[in-house]
Amino acid sequence: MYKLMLVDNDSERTDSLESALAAIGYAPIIRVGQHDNLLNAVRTHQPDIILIDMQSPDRDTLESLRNVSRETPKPIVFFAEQSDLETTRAAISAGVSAYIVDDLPNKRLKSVLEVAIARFQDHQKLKEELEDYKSRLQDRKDVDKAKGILMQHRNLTEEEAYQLLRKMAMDRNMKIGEASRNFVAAMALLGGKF
Amino acid sequence: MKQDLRIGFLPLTDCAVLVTALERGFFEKYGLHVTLQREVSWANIRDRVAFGELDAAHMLAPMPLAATLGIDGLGIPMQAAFSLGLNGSAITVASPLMEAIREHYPQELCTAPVRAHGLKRFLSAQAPRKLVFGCVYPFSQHHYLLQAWLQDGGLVLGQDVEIRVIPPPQMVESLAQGDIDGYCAGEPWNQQAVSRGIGQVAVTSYDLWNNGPEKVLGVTQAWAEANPETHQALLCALLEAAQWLDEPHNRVRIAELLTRPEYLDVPLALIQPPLLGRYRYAPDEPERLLPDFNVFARYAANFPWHSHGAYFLAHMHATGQLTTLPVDPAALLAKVYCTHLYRLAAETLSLPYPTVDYLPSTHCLAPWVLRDASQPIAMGNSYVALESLKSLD
Repeated sequence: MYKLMLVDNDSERTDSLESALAAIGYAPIIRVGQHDNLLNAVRTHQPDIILIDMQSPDRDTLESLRNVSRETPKPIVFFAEQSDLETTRAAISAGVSAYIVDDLPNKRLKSVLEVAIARFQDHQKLKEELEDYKSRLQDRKDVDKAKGILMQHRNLTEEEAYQLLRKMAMDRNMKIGEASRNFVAAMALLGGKF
Repeated sequence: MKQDLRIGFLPLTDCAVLVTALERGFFEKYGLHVTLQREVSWANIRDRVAFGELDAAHMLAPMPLAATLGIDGLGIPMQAAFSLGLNGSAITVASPLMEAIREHYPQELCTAPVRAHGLKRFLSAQAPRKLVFGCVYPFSQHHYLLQAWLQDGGLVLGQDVEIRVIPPPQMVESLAQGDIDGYCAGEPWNQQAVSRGIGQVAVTSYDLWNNGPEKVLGVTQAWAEANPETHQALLCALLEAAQWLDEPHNRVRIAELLTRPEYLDVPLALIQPPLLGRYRYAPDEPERLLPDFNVFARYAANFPWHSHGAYFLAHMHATGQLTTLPVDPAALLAKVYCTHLYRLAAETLSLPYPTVDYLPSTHCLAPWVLRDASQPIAMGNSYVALESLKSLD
């Protein structure tokens, strides 16, 4: 069985990737986090495959192992030398990179990499959804604030204030949240206390 | 013409030309809408440029050559028509080590530049200790300079000293924890070690090689062939940005921009003094005047010299990164360091440009004038301190 090492600071993602890889027969998996010494870990465990989060600056350290093969008995090779370009491109856009030992069969890596790509993509989607949710929540707060100011200063109903903000946003080709933020900021500049 | 571009950079002071081009509107002037994307590793930069996620990027000068030679693990051919500046890095040594040398072998620190003989003598007295030095990437001027400096002092690589690749943001922490004895990196990482009192600068890259190569703007050959107009617009924007940035009062303004979270995210005190030519080697010393610590445009700084490429080739071969030298190095260098594209852009802007591809090796200790140019160009010192670097030149 091949030994797999995962270098990722996101423990949630590592958990899900670990179970997915276990399901196709890769276990146990060596996990390396941000504060561990990656070089020592590689020397100790001598993994056959290393999967690494592209947000980890440790990638450059792994790259150097290619040039000092005498230090590690198993030279580590960047994945693209043995995998196809489409898989590589998908991996890069999902934010995961892989390194394998020289003599590992191509097919093996591909299945591992495909699992990793899928997990990283899921994670990316979740993160985007969370950010989207956060920004919508913030928008709602800012719109409420702007509405409050308008209602107070121009004696408008809530609906009228909302329509006015919507029109302002559309005229300026902005989102209503952004327009509301600008409006509140401008009012603050004029000395209002809100 | 492709107008929307993503350009990658690493948070280092010498990404300044790219930041200037964006923040001062030079990209816009040439019809380009550029997004600057911060990356965490040179490997990411290489991969994202290679696979088209980035159009271009801030690269270590030897990287496009390593890519075209196929020794970078990916082998997707790249090229550079623009150097983003000269000098700008340094070798920092752990403070206790420097203090020990200062105490026992003070004469070794009285040379200009400081050579590594003091380290060698310290090591001989401490046998069987081995030193560990950090550098940022295998294909970098930092790596080659560090090797040359250590070897010049009589240290044997592998036996006396090991060179380890460490990401710049972890470099200072590794030094603080005693994992490494020193490193070669760009700013702000040397100034950070000095300001924390844990490291002292032994030599700057300028001390070792006056106005030597550093970073380039790299693109893939396929991208350059598909987008010739965009490439020219990009070169024109960067040429103007670099000219603007070489004025000291403009550097004050860019230093402030560089402190922002989306760029370097470190205090102004670590960025601004070196940009203004004031460089601190040790915490208990006054700043020294090094007006050419960062050169962004003067001295034909943006020209992608083939002579620099020839030096990288020789060093790649000497360090074992490249097992056999190419059959036709001149043709290879012409493909990678695109001097013709630079000249075209300079011509458009009526800026002087070199008409030769190889920088005459003058080893000059004083400013001189390059006459092999469309108009004579004022050059800075070109002294190279180490014999091993000279012979490769």
